[in-house]
Amino acid sequence: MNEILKIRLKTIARGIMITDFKSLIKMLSFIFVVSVFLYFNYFIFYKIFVFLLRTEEGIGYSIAQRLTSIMFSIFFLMLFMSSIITSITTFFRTPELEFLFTTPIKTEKIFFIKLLENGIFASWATMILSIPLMFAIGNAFEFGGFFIFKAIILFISMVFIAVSFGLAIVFFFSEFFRKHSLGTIIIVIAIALLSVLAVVFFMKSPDLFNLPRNANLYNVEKYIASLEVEQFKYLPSGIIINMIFDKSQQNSNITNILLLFAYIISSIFLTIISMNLYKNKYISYEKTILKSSIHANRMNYPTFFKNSRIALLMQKDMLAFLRDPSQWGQSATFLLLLVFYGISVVRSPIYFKSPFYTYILAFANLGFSTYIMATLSVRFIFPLISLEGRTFSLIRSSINVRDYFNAKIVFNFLMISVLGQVLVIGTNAFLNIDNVVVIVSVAVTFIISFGITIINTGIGAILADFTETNPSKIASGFGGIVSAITSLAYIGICLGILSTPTRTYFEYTFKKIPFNNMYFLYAIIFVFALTVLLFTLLYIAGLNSLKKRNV
Amino acid sequence: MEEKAKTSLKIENLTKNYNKTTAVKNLSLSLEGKDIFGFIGPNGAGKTTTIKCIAGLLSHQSGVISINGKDSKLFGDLSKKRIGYVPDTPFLYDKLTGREFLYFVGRIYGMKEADIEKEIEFYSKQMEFSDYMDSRTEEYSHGMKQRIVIASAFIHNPDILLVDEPMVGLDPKSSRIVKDLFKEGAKENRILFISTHTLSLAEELCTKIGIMDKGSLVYFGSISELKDKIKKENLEDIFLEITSKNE
Repeated sequence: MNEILKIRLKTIARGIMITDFKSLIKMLSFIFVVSVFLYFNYFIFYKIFVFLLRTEEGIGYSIAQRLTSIMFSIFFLMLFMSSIITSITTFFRTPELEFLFTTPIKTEKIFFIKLLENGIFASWATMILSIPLMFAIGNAFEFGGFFIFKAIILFISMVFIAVSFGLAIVFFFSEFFRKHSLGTIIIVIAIALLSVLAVVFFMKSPDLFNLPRNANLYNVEKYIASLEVEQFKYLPSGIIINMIFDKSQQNSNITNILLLFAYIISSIFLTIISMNLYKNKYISYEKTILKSSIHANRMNYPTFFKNSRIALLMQKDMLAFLRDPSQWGQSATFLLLLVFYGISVVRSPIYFKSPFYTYILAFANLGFSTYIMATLSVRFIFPLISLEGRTFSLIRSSINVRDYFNAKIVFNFLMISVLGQVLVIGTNAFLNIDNVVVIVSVAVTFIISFGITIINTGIGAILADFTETNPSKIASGFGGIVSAITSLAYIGICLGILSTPTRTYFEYTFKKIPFNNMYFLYAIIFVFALTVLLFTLLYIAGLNSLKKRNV
Repeated sequence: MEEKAKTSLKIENLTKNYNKTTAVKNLSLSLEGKDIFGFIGPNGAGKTTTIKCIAGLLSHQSGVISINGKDSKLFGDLSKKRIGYVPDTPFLYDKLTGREFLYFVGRIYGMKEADIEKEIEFYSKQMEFSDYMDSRTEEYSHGMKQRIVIASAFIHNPDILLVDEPMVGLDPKSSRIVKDLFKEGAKENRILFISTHTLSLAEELCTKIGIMDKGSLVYFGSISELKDKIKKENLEDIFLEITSKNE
């Protein structure tokens, strides 16, 4: 174990080692971008909590607690889903495994290293949001210096529980359906998870804003009390939130510690079972069963595209994606979860559909949709150029690199734009939002799709790693983090620009303060200008980087 | 002084299926120390699958693989010390240097530091990689990587060395170096199991050959016996004749 761990640490150290002026600049830029991003997140969370805690009626404390609880529930579900997604590649498809399994290293040690890797791959995206959140909670609620230490320990426990449960699900299903292909197993896992989610979803009605507009004082007090009930309180995230907010009720505290302990013990138990199954699972994991049973040529495309190299490259990307179960399986799972998100917006309580909340929801929906577009882009678009691997030399020698780069941009833009528009238009239609907001949302989503595409394709070209075959590993590497942070910062700036006319529009709706639709147009022009600037810079840098690449 | 028992590799009725496709059908063969075995056959004949089954990287549906008289399924992880494996695509940690990788492999196999140093010194001279072994492997060409990987398979002195397509991508000089190493390597009580498409390599090095076609071993024996049997001198002609019969 020590030897493999040492190799890992050495690899990380050499990856970040400053050897020349260029690597110094690269490292300093990375530290600067990450620090700014973390501080910005912390600042936003802190301001929200401080604002809520200042309200005198006590509702602020309850809402802050409820929001934290919801965020932790989302983090836990994201960790769990990510673990399922990354474990297939990490435990079965990495080329290093073939080397390790021919050496006398014990299977348990290989398993442990892969478990650690899987935990990191599955949790890094959640980590960059949750660390500033925990600092913000600690400072806003004045929990003291020990709090961060406690919160980090609890968070690591949550990661461990999510990762081991996710892994156990993959191992369980692949054991049960051992005669079936990886594609079938992924479909079965996705259906099983969605069935569980559907049951929970339809049994539990959303109640965060479930307060009638004509409620009396008794109803309001009852509502405030209900807010303090944590979301999914028996999930590890709910238990951890209870422990973080520690209301010093001895019994409740002991119950929470026991529940968390039970989860940890179950996770260890599941991990041991998975570890014992691992060797046999690896040697019976048959890569060749993935070979396509369709022998027809899928590279023939309609006559009017015959002379388009861009269409040919897009066709190739589409086929490669659809024939890789780890790629389409992961994206299908994400897309189905988004369908649930859409349904949950539609099912929001009737009181919630007052015009004020509807506009807030429309804006929040735009923010959430673009956030989802950004995270999906980092996972699926950013690694695309790296995944060309050695075939990039074939592409470079036979096709104009500009055509290749353009094809990537068009393909990625179509994917991300369709996803974003479906989310935004679909939910807005159900919310009966007026046409001005719908048009603004559609226009902004279109522009942001373009921005996110060029960020992930451009940085994907600049920081391409043609030696890595694991898309999750590519997405969680240095380039992936830079891409994620740039995308999120870009979305933050765009939403910041849009927030001013949106607020004025709300005021116009309720207080009849004069509003000119041109305010929206100016904001859109700002967002467009920012996107054009970003596009120009990243297009030139990405293209030049590809032209200079040696594979 | 007690003489060390001769190394042996015995495969009996090995069958490996991928879903409904049979990759290896009832394969049986037996090898012993000092044998250099050339495993030849067209693409997709089942050579790599067989090698991976012997290396413990793939499970098989039926049959027994015995190493030194013991069923390989009963082998623990530590028994892998007896086997060296060179895959068709060389794997190296790209942020390590060649020397560090060899050192790492030596440590994994439980070798003493002084012995590792000695072996690295020996193989770096034998395989002529002293000049670049202190550079990171991410800077290596395919041939440079292949030399390091082959050295890493030899470094712990295995009884059986499984080599999958060793000559792919090697320049003439590298090929010569690898062939010399294999000849030297087989002088000890060791079995060299080499899967290859390079018939000249089999002809030059191998004491026994096996011809695989569509998952079945269609010939097993020495090249001279085969030439007598088919009444042809050129191994390429013999190979094409045997494999075309099954088409």
